Amino acid sequence: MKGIGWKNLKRDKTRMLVAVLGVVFAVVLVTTEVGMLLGLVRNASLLIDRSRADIWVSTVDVKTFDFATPFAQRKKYLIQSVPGVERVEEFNVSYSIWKLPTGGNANIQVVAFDPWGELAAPLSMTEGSLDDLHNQDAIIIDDGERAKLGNPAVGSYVEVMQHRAKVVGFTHDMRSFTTTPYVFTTLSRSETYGWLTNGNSGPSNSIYFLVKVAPGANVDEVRRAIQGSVPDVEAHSRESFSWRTRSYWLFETGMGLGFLAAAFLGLMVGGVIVSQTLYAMTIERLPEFGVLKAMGASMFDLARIVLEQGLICGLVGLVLGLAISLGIGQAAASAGTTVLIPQPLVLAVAALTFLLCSAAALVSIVRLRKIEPAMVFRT
Amino acid sequence: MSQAVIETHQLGKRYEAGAQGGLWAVRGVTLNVYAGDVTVLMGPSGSGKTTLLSMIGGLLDPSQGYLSVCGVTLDGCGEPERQRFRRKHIGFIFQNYNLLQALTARENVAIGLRLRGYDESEADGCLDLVGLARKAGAMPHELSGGQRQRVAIARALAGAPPVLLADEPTAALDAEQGRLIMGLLRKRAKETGTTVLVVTHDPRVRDFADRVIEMEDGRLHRIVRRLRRVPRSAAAPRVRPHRHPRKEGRHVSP
Repeated sequence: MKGIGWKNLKRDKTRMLVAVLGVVFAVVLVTTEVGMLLGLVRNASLLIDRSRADIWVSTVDVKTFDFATPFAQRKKYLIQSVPGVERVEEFNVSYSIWKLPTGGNANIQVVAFDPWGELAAPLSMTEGSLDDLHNQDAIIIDDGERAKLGNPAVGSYVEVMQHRAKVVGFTHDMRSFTTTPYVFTTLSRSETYGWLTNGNSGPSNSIYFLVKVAPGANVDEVRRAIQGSVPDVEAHSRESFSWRTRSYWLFETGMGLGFLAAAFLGLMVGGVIVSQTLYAMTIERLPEFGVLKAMGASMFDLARIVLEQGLICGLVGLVLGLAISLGIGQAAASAGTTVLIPQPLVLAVAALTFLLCSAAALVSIVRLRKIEPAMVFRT
Repeated sequence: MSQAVIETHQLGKRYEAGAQGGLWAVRGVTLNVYAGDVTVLMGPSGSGKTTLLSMIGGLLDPSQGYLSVCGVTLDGCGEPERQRFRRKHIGFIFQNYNLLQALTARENVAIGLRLRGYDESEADGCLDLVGLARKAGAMPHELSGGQRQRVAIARALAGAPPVLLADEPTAALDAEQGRLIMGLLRKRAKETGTTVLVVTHDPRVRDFADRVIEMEDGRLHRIVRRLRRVPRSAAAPRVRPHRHPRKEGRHVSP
């Protein structure tokens, strides 16, 4: 019975078009929703994942990278003294205010790290150089955040937390998960541009310490040793801290559920469209299926025709849907939103599409099971 | 007398109809049909002709009695066995042709061949048998009613099944096309020993029958054996003899 499904579709182009559109709708929604979610989640833990630290040390019960609380800077020396620790670097993240040219303010996240250090995530520069960060009042921002920050250029002077700052360079694709842009600067300026208390008004504070373990040392053992010997801190492996950050946004805020629900809804709507179209085609051709059954075609033969129709619609819809999704991804990127469509997502969407079309065909196949071959003499 | 290809004994079919207790569509039918015979089943609507044809074709399970077709006992047979039986032994011809609309004439015939395990390339030969070799690539909607019915006959003949069952094959055709179709069926029966059973209301079909069986109220009313003379105008189109890929010697006549 090979080929009959395709010929049926060719003869009924309108229905084929409707079924393909149903698949396209589902593919585009699933791919872009999940792609956006992946993009957001990747950004959420970007600075953790790209860091070269084995262990991140924070205060206890930090839920996510963005919402850590300060602790005494002097604990660095306690961490340094733990056996197996090779190197410790301070890494600060704090919210701050950027004065816009219009007179308004924009919230920002000041990310301060040691430019001579080895453990923070390297900045992918598109303009300027990391070395320029050593200049006075220097800051670096991401090129995707320019518009949000009043379109500064390299060399522009801006106001951050009522202090003068100079934009010395731009990164690419290093954007915050939240809507607040990252502003990269040195540790010494984190107290000027951020909320952290400095040594003049009390003990100096830090947000994170990045730890590199000595060659041959076990990361988990060192992590537990830090927690055991330094009071009121939590030491995370890079992977576990990354996952904690992602899972916070995904599950605790309901954001992930929202995206997945939208994707699921798209899948269901697309599935219903395909299913109804295939069913209508099957009902219209019921006498033909009856004839085939009367001639001795097995249920497998008949199911194969409907399945073929579903899978062809699925394949055409998948190709078109993915092409449209990639286009949306590119358009979104130029508008500053990351939509990640990695190969595993494409494969998953393809598998889901074929599953969807098979399930949609199943409704028709169940109907075909009920055909009495004797119907051929009544039609 | 040759061995009967279709044998029934006290065959009956009862449809359950709720509280009223059901209805016997066919009852007490005892009948033998022989190889190479053209048998015409006539009778008023509701007399049970089509039900009898459906049981003989393995489309309906009898409610009582004995039914054997081509040596296969069909009463009490499950659908998988009946499906295999239909594929191997029966060719169906329908009033409304029932061609697959998305397929060409050749492809429609090829389905019959494929189901019976034959090579699809023989489809053109089958169409040649019904004088439609030149229309092999035509879609059903491009053919006249008579041509469609001939394609349906070619599909039914594909793979040379020993029994052809036709339900009102001439009902949708004009007189000339009807005679052409019946001529084809008779020629086939006589040339190859195929058993042909035709259900019809059309009195013209009587002229092509070896036997006419009249049914009434689900029972055989009268069997008439005809000494027939085929009218000259009813001659089938000139066809090449069809070489059967399978020769099983099922249509043995003494």
